[in-house]
Amino acid sequence: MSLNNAFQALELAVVLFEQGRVSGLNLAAEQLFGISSERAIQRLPIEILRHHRLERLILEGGSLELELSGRTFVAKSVTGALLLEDVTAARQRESELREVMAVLSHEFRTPVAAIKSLLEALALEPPPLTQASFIQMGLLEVERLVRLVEDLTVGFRPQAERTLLLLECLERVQRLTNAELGRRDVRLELCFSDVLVRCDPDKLVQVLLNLIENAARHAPNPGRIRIFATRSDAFWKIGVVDEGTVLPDYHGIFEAQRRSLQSRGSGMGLYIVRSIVRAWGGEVAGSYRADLSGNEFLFFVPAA
Amino acid sequence: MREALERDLRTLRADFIRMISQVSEQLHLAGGVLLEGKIEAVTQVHEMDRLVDDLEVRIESECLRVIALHQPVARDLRLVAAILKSLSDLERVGDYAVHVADDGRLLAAEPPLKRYVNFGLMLARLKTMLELASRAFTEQDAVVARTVAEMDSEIDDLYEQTQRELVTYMLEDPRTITKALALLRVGRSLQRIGDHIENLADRLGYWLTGARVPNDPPEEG
Repeated sequence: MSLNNAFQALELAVVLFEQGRVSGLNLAAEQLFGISSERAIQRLPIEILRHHRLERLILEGGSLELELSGRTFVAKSVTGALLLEDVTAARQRESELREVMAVLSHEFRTPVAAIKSLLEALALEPPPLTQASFIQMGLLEVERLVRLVEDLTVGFRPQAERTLLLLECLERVQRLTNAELGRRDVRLELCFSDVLVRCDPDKLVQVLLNLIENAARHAPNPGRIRIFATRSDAFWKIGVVDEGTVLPDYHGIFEAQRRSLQSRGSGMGLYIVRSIVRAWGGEVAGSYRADLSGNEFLFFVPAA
Repeated sequence: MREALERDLRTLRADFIRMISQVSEQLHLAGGVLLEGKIEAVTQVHEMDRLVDDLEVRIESECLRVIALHQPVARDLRLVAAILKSLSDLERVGDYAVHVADDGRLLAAEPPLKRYVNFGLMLARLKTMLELASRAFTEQDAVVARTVAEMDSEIDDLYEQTQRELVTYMLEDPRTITKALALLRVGRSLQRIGDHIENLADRLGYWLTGARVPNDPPEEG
């Protein structure tokens, strides 16, 4: 590969300068600034970069982080060249990690503090009735911790994908939710057949489990939950439809730490659903479906 | 003579791009205050507004000097006129960015009434409009200029949607009125920014094609 080919193939956007004029751009820079090298050569840097801070960076040297065309770049000025690295994905990961860390520290702190207080109180040997109540409260807090750890272990471990029937996962979900759905008198209806998907089955179970449990807990009881599946290009679009009323915000509920007051979950449920589905290259969404008289939470899973 | 005019026009063009870029950054910072509660950026938005105002004065004098010294005609004259007339539009964009930042600071003091999804969308589109306007200007691309002008209708739609939503909030719960009014102001500022960028795009189109775009009646502001 010649030096020029290597220059053109760089992921880094590079703009070259000579005597205060642009003298070359690689392909990444052409795409970023929407201009061909031929048109850019011999023009003033500001005419190509169209950003006053980048212009100053060339003159003064150093580096800076900025947003260009909705993406985040780290721009570095070296003699005769400006280098721009797209760090959008890295910044998104950092931001998500910060979000998860904030949620986790909060989520762990609350039950741990409660358990500590309850144990301290038990050490004072209260009357048997109070003791029993404290133990019950402690167990509830431990349950919350267990749920959190379960969410994390499935949600964030590496993928182990294989081809399988959606029905296979739903049968597992039904076994896991039977007791709760029975108690709440919520009926699960599967409105599809022969849906073959390719993914990590444990993760698909986790997604379905979180969505079905949410539907059972937040929609009216007794009630029914319907599961639909429609083909959408390389994906299956799976909809979990309950009989709930319109929600105030269908976007924010997929963010970490959006737990409703009556929820006993980790607050990470829908956030984990979104993380798993996005890792498949899919997307999640929620909306009220007047035609189905309920809320639909749908996600995309790769078709086999 | 032509060479001297070319040189002066190039300087003028470079300053105009800098002004668009500065206003764009001001809007980006104001968005950070509103959407992410970065209230420390409010001072910076105000400082940048002063820089934008200074640049407006400087470019205006440059335009007048070019006209007096070179008496440009045809496309060159339309370029100088387009820049001269667009200065106040850009300056107004900067002013509205200051309003957004100030209202963002007020709103950040209390829990949000709702998620500002539409404001995020409006800000992203406005930034794209400014970026594309800058590209239309440097690449002399009338098609891109037209695209920018057309994007304003998306901003208007989002504003209307936001307005309806906020009125519903106020009707349902009068305790939300103060906050909803501040949010309405923000929406209005963003909508006006869109109008000013549309004006800019229309003028670029006139410079490049020599044909005027029939406009809706202008709004005050």
